[in-house]
Amino acid sequence: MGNEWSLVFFTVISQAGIGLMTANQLFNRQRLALNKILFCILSLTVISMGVSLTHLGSPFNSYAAIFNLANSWLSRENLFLGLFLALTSLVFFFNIRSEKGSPPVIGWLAVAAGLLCLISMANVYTNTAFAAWETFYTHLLFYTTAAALGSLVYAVLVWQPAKQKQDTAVSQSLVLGIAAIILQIISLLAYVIVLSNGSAAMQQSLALLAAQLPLLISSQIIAFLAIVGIVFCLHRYQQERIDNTNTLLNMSLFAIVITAVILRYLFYSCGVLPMGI
Amino acid sequence: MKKQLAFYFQQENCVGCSTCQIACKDKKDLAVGQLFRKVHEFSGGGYQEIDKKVVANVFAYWLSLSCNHCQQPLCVKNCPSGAMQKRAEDGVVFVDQERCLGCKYCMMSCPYGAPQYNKEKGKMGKCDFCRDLLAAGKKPVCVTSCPMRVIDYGELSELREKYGSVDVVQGMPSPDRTKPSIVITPHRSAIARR
Repeated sequence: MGNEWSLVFFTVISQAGIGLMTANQLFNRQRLALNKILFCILSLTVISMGVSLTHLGSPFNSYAAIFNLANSWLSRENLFLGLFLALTSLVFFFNIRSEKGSPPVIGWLAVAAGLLCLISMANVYTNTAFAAWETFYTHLLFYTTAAALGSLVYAVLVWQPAKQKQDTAVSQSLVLGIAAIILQIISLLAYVIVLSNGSAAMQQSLALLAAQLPLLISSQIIAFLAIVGIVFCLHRYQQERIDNTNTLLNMSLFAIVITAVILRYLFYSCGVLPMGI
Repeated sequence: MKKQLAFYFQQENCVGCSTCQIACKDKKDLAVGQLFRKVHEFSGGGYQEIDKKVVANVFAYWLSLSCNHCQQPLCVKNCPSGAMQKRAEDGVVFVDQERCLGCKYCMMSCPYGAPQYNKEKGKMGKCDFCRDLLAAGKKPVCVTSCPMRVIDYGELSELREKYGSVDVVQGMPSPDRTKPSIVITPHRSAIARR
């Protein structure tokens, strides 16, 4: 498949936005730093859309990307991402217009659109001729990336105000982040086993993955260090000692972003077509 | 039953000269790196000593392949803009260049790697069965250029009646998912074990 950097960044950034919106709806009952969070979600989504345009050969025709909704997962992905952006903008609009904020249903609709976009995004890849993308791993990789990045960005954004207001949801979001990263590590191991027992194209993909073993191992070491950092932050937060741990949490988030980018790069680079003209 | 055009390939007599590939590239004026038809070479085997005699089991065969204008084309199903279309009257799969956004999703969808990205135009391109020649009552250029006369075309059901229903040989992906419109008389070393 080669180096599809625009797809690497588009998928990771848009998944971070969707994950953040979901974490915000799940945990932010006290509406802490809401404008900051919503602005962050909108920025991530707009940036991801911009990045996705760089993948297109004819970006001026991008309006046509939703013309085949009946059959194409890519059309559905584009539609749901657009809906996600529109609904999140509406929540943001209500929030800056009044103290009361937006009706909760709009926020949940935005989450639904985001999750449908995530499912469509995974199905875009499982419905190709690339054997290495047809496995369960594509779904797990995309969902765990959204959960890990979304919950950690949420924790970083509400860290200080949450502490002042005795909010316990930060702990929950950190636990979700840790669980997502652990699930991602386990699913990677299972993926390697599936590839090693798979078709000739899967074996070829495994060989490509093996050729980049140092990068793969580095990503998992970084992910492990991030888990240690997050667990430490969680412990400090629960003990109400948060003086310098915000820096550690920021560093852990950065480590998870690096891991997500490496894993996505490897996902694209190990795709092999059964035959090429 | 709807009409479905298909290519026929008599593999046993192909000598791998690549004339079809070059004629197609010339006709379509394709840039370096783009091919709408490609001749794949497969070779292998070796020498075995049996009862103090050296016996050769080396083999070589070629496979000339373009878009197979599949009956269930994944490229058409997956194309987000509907630019990749299957013509109702003869089943030819082609790209509507005006609608194509160059997302390359058809390239990822085709197990045969038929759709090719044109970097200059920012669009996808592929074998369209030489629609212009067909409209003029002529044959596709790969068919007329082959010096060995191993490529032919016609209605799929008629080709199957005449030559059998083999649509996969060793080296090709499984036809189950997309149902390629191709009929092959396989080389003796290329008969697929399914």
